[in-house]
Amino acid sequence: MKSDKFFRNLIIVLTLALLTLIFYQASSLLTPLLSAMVVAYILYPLINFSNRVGIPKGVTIFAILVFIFLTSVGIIFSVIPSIHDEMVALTSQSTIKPESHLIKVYNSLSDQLAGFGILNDPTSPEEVIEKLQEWQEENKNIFLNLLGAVRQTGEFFMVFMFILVFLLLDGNKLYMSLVNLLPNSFFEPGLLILRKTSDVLGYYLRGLVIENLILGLISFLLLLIAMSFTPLTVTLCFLISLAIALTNVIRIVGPFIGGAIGVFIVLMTNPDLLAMGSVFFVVLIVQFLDNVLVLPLVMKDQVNVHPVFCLLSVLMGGKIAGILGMMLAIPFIGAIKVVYRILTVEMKKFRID
Amino acid sequence: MKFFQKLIQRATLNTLDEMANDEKHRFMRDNPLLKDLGEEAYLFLLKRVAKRSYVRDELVFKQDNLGVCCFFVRQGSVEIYFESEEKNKTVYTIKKAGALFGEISAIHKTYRAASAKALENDTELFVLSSFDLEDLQKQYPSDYLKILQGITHTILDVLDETSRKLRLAEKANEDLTKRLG
Repeated sequence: MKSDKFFRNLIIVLTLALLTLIFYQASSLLTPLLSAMVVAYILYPLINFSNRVGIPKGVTIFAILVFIFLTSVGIIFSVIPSIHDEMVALTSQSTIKPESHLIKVYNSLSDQLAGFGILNDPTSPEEVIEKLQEWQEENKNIFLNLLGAVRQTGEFFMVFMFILVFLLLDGNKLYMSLVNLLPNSFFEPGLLILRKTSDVLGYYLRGLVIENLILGLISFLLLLIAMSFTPLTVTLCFLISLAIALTNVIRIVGPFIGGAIGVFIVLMTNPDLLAMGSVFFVVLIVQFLDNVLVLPLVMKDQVNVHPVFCLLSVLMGGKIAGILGMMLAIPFIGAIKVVYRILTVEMKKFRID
Repeated sequence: MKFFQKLIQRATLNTLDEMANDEKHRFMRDNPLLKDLGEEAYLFLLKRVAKRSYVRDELVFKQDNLGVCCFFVRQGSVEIYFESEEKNKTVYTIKKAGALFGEISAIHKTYRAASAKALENDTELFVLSSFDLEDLQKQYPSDYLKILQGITHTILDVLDETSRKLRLAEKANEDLTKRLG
């Protein structure tokens, strides 16, 4: 009996080691896998809801895939040509001329800052051109890298879509296979842990989508108000609010990135200090409303983690798995909390013998 | 919507037809708890039923542990028993093929009042968790009520049986007191 137990434990350890090795070797697949899992978690209730009102699962999944495909095609056809144009312009050595956009931005900002008495002796445009050209020379390979990134994105997208379809169609089968893996002696606690962590993850991710939709809308409305006294346009307002909403998926750090992107968008299109200040102010208001109103309403206390742990986990998540890691850090901590609670409170009297 | 509903209904029936020889389907469809369910709700639950195998004397669950599942005995038999702090064992009942046990935990996650262990090798159980029933409640509320009614009846039957045993014990106790007294 004892040797049976030893061999069983040995097989478990070896399987875990093998799985770790496989994941390490195929770590590039981990990002599309995690991304597909995140999207699938967000979409499950939609599929269940449509099924409840009489729309077959297959039809809903097909509609979702068509939507994702059309959105991607839309993005490719609207964004890629402009990126291509920018690349062509930037790669030619004659781009950075005194009349180029970057120099215009630079001149406009130095004038405005000089108007406030902050920058009275700015660097001359000629020096700026020289520095930018030096940077261009040093970073010639960046464009080749960009092409590589486009290829990688294509690969990522294909793998992501494949896993997403599989998860949406057979998510329940996958869950049942996990349930079947649970040992008899730990079946009910295992099921409880599996289900509660899955609930926390799903609840957090769906809450995040709702929260960011609300925040995006609030930002857009506030920026529209700011439009009356700044040179912001509706398109700019939309782009900035989109950046704020998208980057807010990363707790604590995200809003700052969103704000920085917003200010950068204004800087590159219409460098006006008042407009940039407005964007910054809108980010602050949105963050305040998020913390005081939206977050408690949407998330309730599902993933109640101390801000310090929040920040640490987000930074560690970023170190381990980039943006996706930053995004999933909080629900991961929430899941650990749930497991800890189950093991220490709900399963306090748990005995296997 | 009616078109889609018909489509779902047809797809459900097709799936159930394809599963005609599936042991889980054949067993569960005949179970009194599930037999009144609509086809879609039944298939919804069937996909979530897990199968577990146990060897002789293997524990299914232990008293005082948190329970989240109910079990249907497919094959073999299971002993439900209580163990006092002094390790005195009282067997409540033995569940044979077709029987249901642990049903209270399926509607209300609660600590087990008794333990259950397999009495035979190759004891097979089908497991339904309270989470599956919660999902059923959201998706098919009227069918969930039917399950709830079924479980209530099972609990009432157990209570009736316990009361009957208690009355018999009381009567035996009275007779014994009279005879001794």
